[in-house]
Amino acid sequence: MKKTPYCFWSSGPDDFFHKLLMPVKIVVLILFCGLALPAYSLSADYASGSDLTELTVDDPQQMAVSGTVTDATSGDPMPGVNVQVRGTTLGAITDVSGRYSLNVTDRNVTLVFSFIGYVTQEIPLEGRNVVNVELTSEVLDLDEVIVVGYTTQKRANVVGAVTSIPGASIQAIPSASVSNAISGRLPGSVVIQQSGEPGNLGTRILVRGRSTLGSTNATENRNSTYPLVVIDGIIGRNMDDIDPNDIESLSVLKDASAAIYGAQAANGVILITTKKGSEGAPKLNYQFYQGFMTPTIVPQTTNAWQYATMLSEYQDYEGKTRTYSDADIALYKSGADPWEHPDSDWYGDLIKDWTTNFKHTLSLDGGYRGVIYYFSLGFRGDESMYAQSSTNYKQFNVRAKLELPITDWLKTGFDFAGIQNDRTYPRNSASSIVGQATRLLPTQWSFWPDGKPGPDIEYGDNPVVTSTFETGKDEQKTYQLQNTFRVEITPPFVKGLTLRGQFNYDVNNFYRHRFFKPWILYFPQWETAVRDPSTGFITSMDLTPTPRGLSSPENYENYSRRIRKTTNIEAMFVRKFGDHNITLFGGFEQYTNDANDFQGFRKYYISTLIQTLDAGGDAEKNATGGMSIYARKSYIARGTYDFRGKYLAEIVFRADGSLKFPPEGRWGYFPGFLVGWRASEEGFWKDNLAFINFFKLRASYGKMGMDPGSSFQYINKFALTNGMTFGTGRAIEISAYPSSVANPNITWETQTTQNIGFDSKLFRDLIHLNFEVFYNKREDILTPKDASVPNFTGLSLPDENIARVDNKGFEIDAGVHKSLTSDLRIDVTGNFSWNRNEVVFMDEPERAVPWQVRTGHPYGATLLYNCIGVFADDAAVDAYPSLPGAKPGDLIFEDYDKNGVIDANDRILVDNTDAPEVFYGGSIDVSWKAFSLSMLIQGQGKFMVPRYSDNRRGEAGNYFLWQFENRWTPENRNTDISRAYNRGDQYWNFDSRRSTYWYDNMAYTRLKNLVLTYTIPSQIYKSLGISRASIYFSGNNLALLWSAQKNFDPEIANPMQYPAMKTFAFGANVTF
Amino acid sequence: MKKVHRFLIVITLLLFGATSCTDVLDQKPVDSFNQDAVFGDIGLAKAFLGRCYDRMYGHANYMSLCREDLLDAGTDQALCIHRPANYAWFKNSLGPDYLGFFGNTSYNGFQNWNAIYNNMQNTNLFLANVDNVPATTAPDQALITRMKGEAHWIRAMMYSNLWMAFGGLIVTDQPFELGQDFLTITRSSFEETLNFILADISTAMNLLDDNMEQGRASKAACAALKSKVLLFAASPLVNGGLASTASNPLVALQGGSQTARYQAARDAAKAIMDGTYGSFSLVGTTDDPPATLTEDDIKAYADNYHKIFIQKGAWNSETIHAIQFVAAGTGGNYSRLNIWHGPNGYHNWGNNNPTEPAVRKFEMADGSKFVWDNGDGEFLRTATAAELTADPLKSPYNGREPRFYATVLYHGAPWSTRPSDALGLDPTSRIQTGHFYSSATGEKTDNGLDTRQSLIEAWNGTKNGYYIRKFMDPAVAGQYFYNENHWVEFRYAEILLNYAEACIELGGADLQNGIDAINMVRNRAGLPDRVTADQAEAREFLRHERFIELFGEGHRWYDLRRWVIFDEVVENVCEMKIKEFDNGDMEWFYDITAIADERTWASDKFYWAPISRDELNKAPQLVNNPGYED
Repeated sequence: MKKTPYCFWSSGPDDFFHKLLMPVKIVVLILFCGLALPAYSLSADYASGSDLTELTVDDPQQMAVSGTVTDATSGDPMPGVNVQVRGTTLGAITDVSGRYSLNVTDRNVTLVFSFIGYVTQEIPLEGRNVVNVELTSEVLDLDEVIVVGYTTQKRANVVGAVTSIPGASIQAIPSASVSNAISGRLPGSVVIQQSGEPGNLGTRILVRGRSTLGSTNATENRNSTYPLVVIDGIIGRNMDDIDPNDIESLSVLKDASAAIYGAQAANGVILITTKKGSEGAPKLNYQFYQGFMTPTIVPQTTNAWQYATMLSEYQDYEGKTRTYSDADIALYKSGADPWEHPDSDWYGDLIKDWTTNFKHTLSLDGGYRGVIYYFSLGFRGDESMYAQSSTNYKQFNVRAKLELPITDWLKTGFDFAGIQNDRTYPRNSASSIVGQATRLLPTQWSFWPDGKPGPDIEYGDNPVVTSTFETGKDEQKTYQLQNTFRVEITPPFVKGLTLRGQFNYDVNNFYRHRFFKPWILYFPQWETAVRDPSTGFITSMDLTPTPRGLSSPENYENYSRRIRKTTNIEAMFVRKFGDHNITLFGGFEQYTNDANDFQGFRKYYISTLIQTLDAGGDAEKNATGGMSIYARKSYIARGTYDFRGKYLAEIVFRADGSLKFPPEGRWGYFPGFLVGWRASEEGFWKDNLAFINFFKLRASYGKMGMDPGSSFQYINKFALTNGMTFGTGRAIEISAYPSSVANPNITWETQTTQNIGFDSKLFRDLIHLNFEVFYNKREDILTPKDASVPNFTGLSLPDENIARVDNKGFEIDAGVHKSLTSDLRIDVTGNFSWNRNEVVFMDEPERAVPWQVRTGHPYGATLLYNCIGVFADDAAVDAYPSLPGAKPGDLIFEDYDKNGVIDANDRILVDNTDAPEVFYGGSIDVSWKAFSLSMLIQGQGKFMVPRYSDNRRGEAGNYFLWQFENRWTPENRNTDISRAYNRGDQYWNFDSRRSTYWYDNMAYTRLKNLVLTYTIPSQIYKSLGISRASIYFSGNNLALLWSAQKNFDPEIANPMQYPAMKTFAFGANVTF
Repeated sequence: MKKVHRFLIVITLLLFGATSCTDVLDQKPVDSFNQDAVFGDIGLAKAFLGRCYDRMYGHANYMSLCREDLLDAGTDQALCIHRPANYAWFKNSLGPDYLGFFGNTSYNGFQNWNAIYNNMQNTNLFLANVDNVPATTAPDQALITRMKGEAHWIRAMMYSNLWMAFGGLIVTDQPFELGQDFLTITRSSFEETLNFILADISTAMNLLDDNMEQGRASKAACAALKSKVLLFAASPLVNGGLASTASNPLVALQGGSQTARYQAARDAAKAIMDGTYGSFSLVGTTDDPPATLTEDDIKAYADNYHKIFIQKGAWNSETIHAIQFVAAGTGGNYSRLNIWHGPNGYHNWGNNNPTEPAVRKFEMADGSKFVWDNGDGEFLRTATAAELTADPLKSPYNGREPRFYATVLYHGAPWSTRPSDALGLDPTSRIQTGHFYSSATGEKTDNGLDTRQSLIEAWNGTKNGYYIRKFMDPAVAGQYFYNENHWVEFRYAEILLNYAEACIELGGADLQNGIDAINMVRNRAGLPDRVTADQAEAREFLRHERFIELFGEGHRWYDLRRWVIFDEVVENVCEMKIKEFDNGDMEWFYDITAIADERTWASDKFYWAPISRDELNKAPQLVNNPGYED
């Protein structure tokens, strides 16, 4: 059916230009403020300070400074480098030969040298007239400090398998979540987006694959495979709540280095550090983008005549009454009779071609006399693809970081973040709306020819309406406050010692209001039909508006509150004794996490105007609630030693005590041992292998834990719930039930990790090559011992620490980095990871046949009939064993045991699971003059999931187009697509006999994102007080370069889920 | 040095501030309590008994047979359209690897070994600990006694349900504990299990009050269970009637007298009829009905009968035990009988449809048999509009016995007002399971709203032309609302028929007592008396009456097994094809070539449910039922 203009609930025109205009306005506003700020407000604020007066422009003591900027690695001169006097708008850009010159007013100013892709250097002038600078590339800087858990280390000295990326690499990517933006950038980490729905991307992260039993489908903190996320040292925060612009760096600890996080570290640790300010005059930065999104792939379903044809074929095969006659099919095809023979494109009518997302970030940082501050304000939003705008996601961020020195030995700091996430959805979930759009029959009406929405398929389901707020709203608001107070003492009498205390208090409030109401659909009044006398077709008809879906408005309100408190006391000792460098770190951490929630329900609202709980009727109501507590105490230690940076050793240790476990076995001890050898520092290496200018060999061994599940599993727990109804007044009896059966010995899973790797650089840093190989043994995995306890005992089995999974793999990370000319620099990097797990023990019940024993296979291996084709004709059915009733066009199941009978024993374990074993990424970064281009290609290897699991297709649901095209028919016998089928009626249907036919390989390679930046020459805006301005184009999920199946997005891997979005964005970045 | 002091003060303050006074690891759960608390407090102990009740059928919400998929769809009574393969005994697929209907706990399953045994453990845990519950006052002590009685009844209910499906069970009155040696525990014989159940019933009867709260265990509920269990134990299936299993003690009684068992069954039913456990009677009158029933009479009898199944408040005199439901959103147990059974033209799911051979069994209002009257062996009737006016009985759906109208929805049957979206299509709110034709052309002009070609949710349409009406409350719009009518678990009519069966099987002087009991049930339904002195004929009368009176209530599957006649009644379910012409002419045709569900009785092993492969793997010492041993 053609899309018709429809404005029953019009929310105003979807104003493309309006959206584009807003950021422009903001830029203008900021330009204006930027002019005013340095001239007026800031100078006024600092007027009382004595030092700043020396910076005033009209100071007579002017002096000229000049110099050359060169590339530290190649020695080539670097043109286009921004040279700025810190705290002022004075500056210059280097010329073709890397030279610059400028006049300063003070002999003691500091010059800031910055160039994209290089580490910014700040050099105090100290009275010099010539300052020559070598800039080093950012990516491979040996002095770069990376966060390794509680402390930082120089990259050159890191001996663990730690991957780190700077926040800058994800800032411009128009993705609504941080976790989604890092996909493909972190060797060893699988990052898969599971939905494209605003605010609900469901990103799945696996560090080094899956090492334990249990689902990986839920997202953060809700399953046993998600890595531990630590943000600014605090556990339990969500990385998607951070504005990417606030991220300084992101590291992943993959090996024994994660042991510093003890009982929670076995799935790897993601560490995120947010930005802090830097000393100097205030710097104001504004960045925005406006994105335009469209689904990557919209799954195709059959149109009306195709559907009617296919269903009729099925009905003919089975001798059933046909729903559609040949005449009907002809009319569906011709489209001549839209009232009675419509051809609805449900998915097409559900969505619009383009939707939008945006982000604005304003940050301010600077520092004066040791007081360093960073403030940021972020606002981003993500709109849905639904034609009638409804679902949307908005996030507001405020963040502040302050460092306040009190005395020369006492420093304090305060971090604050306020985060609000607003998610607004219609009543039905995205998977329901989108799933139904693929299911609804094209022979029914999405819209009637007069533009009114058609009737539902059932339960009021008509996605063109259920995707709107006509159904009511599901509003979810999360309000978070994150506060940290820090004290740092450097006792003057112990050289190298630092003591730190930190108290952190995070409050998370969640409020959900679901007010739903019946929605109006239009039903036919056939008797009013006016027919064209010549054709007999209806030309107009009255329609009856009918409320559907619900009998009356209803309201669910939830409120939940979570408070996390973390206290840290730490001591750090750093000393150099001759050639021996030592660092010692010791700390204590206490963490508590208390939560409670309640929910109320009422219905029979007499009006939708007042949507509070008290306004509901009394007939049906309910109130529920719950509480939970969790606490942990930990002692943490790390010692590192290196001899001239050549021989490196590190020991980490953590003792964790958890409330989850019984007092006698509450404490666990997790050590890690890491050694490194920078062989390239050895004389023999320099003599013989000088082309490898950097080589570091690393090895580690450690033990970590994982403590999933709820607290107090060591106690037989009982809880209360509703029971049966007794008495003539029908009162609901409260019932007490065993909510968990005690395992008095419960403890965490333990993982021992072994890792060997090397980091290397060749030909004066032209090439870098890093390699890791690992072997993880996960033991004590919690799983019930169900193979040995018969069901007749009625015992609910507790999870016991019995299962074991081994996991092994490798990662390669390599790149070429070259400045080809003085204007052109290219970096090409790639990473590739492979891992495979194997269930070593899981108390598996005896299996009927040996090939169905799961032990020895990867976790998640699926037991399936092996579909080896489609019966071409009767002869083919007779020639091969088949199930009773098999017909030509049905699936051929392999008679695996070759006994002539197809039965449950013929099922085989398919080792390709829903966790890809291969994951890779490759990026190309090119900078040429004022342009820079950054491109990321990302992909995954074999990943087997059901192409869909909807058993309604046939009489009760549309077919997908790929089931129609090339399907088996008596005329098209040699094909691998089955004949027309109905729901669960065939022996080979998804529900009763699951076969490989229903599974697809989701391997793919895609152009994940691309950022093209143009730095506007500073001459243009220098006079405005702007120090740097750039504009950029960026894109996300831009193109699927290759995919094993082409019917829907392979990353989302489900045609009935909200698809991944392809995003094009335009943005700007302005710094004052 | 002063600096050092200052520094130390700050450190001390810092450490003091950071260390809380209580150990955060030393806390008690905030959302739960432990077993000591449950049996240390009579209120919590009662709540734990509440759990035993709640799960006695293996599921928190799907109580007994009040489920989306009726057990009787596994007999000749009905067809479950959505999950026919679940009734695996018709499909030659039931076995340790595929339990079908028995493998599920929720709306599509029944008698789930795992789930019921799970609650058996709860009940045994309760019985093992209830004596330690502090109870000082007399009412509390009485409550303890009463609760013990309830627990024994619950256990008897659970064992009897499993026993009637699986035969001899693992029998224990003690809770199992982890670490116990489970490999030496074997199944008790059929007879030992029976005796355990009877002992529980007897204990419960002694402990329960005379006046129990409606919905809880009661002496009458004990007696009704006893009647059912004893009749099962007296039946041919377990008394050598199935030769191939006669000597297997797991599924048959060894030795003893079948007559004595029928006597015991008779006496158990008679005790209830004698008012030993309270006064019960059939609802309505059991006087002889008028010789000729008017349409109003038929309606009155039908409504009187139908009201048994849509009761909501205090139970009527016929109800011995029922399960109560409450509205959605209240958090209590709910049922969705209307949406489960109702027609698709009402946005319901039309899941369990009476078969035509079952519909055929409903007599005419005068007690004569219904026959398709063309005499040529075809199931066909045609009538013009004029013929129908002259003789309404030309319609197969006119002039039938009252229970037909309470039990079956057929083409043309009046039902509740159509939902607003369908009202325009059918303002008369009559069931449309047939199609509409033009008399001029003979072409189909429209599909019935309640057919599988309907405009409304066609996939929920009946496959064979009927819907079940019995459990549906006409006041409930199933698409939006849950049902609150009770599910009647034991009722007096069943007891009368249990009594009648035992009497007829005993024969002799008892036979007429049996006929009298049948006639009470018939008279209440508006049908005339049966008269016979022939035991075989009396048996057929009894079996017919159970079929009609207890239709859909979950007895037929047991009865077909008890009487070892499954093989005799199994046939394919076919389509009823109805044409309604625009001039009022009608055609009704049961097309036995249009198969809606293929059914076979491939093996007598299907008289018993198998123990699952999974369970046998965990407990290899268990012997499976005959035919499933492999």
